[in-house]
Amino acid sequence: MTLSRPRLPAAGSPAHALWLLGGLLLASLAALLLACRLGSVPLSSAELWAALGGWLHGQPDSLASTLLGLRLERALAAWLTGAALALAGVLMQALLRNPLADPYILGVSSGAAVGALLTLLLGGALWMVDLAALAGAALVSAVLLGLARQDLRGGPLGATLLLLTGVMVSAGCNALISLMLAIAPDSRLRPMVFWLIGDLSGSSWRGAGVAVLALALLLCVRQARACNVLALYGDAASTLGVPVARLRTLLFTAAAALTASAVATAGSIGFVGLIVPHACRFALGPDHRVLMPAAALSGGLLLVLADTAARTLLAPMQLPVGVITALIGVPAFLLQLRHVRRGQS
Amino acid sequence: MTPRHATGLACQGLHLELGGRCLLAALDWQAHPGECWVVIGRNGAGKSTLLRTLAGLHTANAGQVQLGGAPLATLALAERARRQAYLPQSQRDAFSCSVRSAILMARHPHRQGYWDSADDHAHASAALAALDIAHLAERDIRTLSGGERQRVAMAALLAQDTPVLLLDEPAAALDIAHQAQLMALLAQRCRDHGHTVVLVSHELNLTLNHASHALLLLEHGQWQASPVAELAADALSACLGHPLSAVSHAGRRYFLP
Repeated sequence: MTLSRPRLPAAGSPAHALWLLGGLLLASLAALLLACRLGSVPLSSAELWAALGGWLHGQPDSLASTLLGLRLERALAAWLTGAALALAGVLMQALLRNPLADPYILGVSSGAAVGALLTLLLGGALWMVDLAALAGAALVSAVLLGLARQDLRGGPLGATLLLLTGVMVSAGCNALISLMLAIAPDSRLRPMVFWLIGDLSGSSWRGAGVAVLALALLLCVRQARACNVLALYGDAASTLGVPVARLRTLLFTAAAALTASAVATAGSIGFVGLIVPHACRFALGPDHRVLMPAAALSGGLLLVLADTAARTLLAPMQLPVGVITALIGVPAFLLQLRHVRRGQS
Repeated sequence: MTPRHATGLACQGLHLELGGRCLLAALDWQAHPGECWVVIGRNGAGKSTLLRTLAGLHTANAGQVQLGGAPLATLALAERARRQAYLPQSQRDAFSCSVRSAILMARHPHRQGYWDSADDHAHASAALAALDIAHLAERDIRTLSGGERQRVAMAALLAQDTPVLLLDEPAAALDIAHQAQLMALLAQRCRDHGHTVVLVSHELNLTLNHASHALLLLEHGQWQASPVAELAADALSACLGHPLSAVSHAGRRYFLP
């Protein structure tokens, strides 16, 4: 017996890519709705729609509307953070031509952590913590750009020198972080550790985060073809018409801004920025025209699901979302590696 | 038929130094359309550095390179990439990529839209056929042998569709059949399409039988340019630092140690 299957566009074609991105977008919306329904007080579909109507009309009068507002804010923050981290991961991998690069590799997040932990240590308010994280990330990015400006132009050691500079800056920041943890009084230690693991409780989505992600996505779509050429050819990409130094500076700046925005919202959530780009590469191929939007959508999707799990699994206790991403990410990634190994032999 | 940018490649007073050593002093040299040049010299004589300078990847200490009558430095990168293509000595592949995608990427300077056009696909398919690698089209470039990878890089160069081609040891990893095929292909491009080819090679007899001109890089930055037919065994021996004698066989000249 033969089953006729619906005819799908061929893999690798533009139509296939649009189907795929559309599917990921729908999955993201479904995950956001799921995140709004689940919690200590679950909402039924009917309650959810009624509350959504009320919330949209600015009348959060019922309990359901209030719950929805809180959950949606947090879920949107999770989506934005995941999308920003995954996209930053793809950008860093293209910039360094290294598939093991992640958004944190050049120390931007360590800079943010120094700022945030210092503020927590001194007992600053929550908005001051976010602001200090942004300032720390910006400072480290500026220092890196200053030190490694020449490496972005290329040369046989370019990527290595940039990577080493970033790793050194990161190591310096990590020493400061250890120092602050060592001298912090017990009462302040817990929020500091939670910040480091990555935690979305109390986060809400912000216009700045949306703007950074939208701008970065726009840049990525414009530069996707050039990124393909840079990833394949390295410095010789200039003989194919790609302005290598300018593109690398753009990629670095975009990745740093995305990372800073994500880390200021939710702390250093691990694994999303490494695993989502990898999983997308394995599943969809290396074409940045598909990879960059797909990674952003998948990263958002993953973090919304992970955060929903983090606040419902051991409710009323809330787990840091960074733990969940690592616990999901590690086995999923190892399974995928096994699949890749099988494909090779 | 005269191709679009028919004026080839030229160097004026080109001076190249590397690590404090003078590789080339005052190179005044022209490669016209229809000419196939082979650059010959010892290891470290500056062959690759010269080619990288022509490709705009290395900055000369003095003098200038002209491409199609315009100084290379004043040409926009995309325009440069539509006029000349460069094949590096070897490439490190960091990411997986199918052979067809790798060749399609070489269409970058010609492209306007977000996706590959039918024209891009036509060029890629023609290049795959020309290099005899259509059967590898869906393979991952990281699983290819050295010679296969080199032919993919060569196909990408053809798909870039430029009147000037710069090639750094294009025949190094190839077997003898594919070496002959590659050189015949390059010579045909020069002859029939009026393209300009400049290649670096240590395969003397293979390249000199297909090339029209030779540029010898000598010691202390000196150089010598001549048609292959006028190339003397003495000059070649002096250039390479090893005695060579010319032997004629079946109407062709061969240089043997």
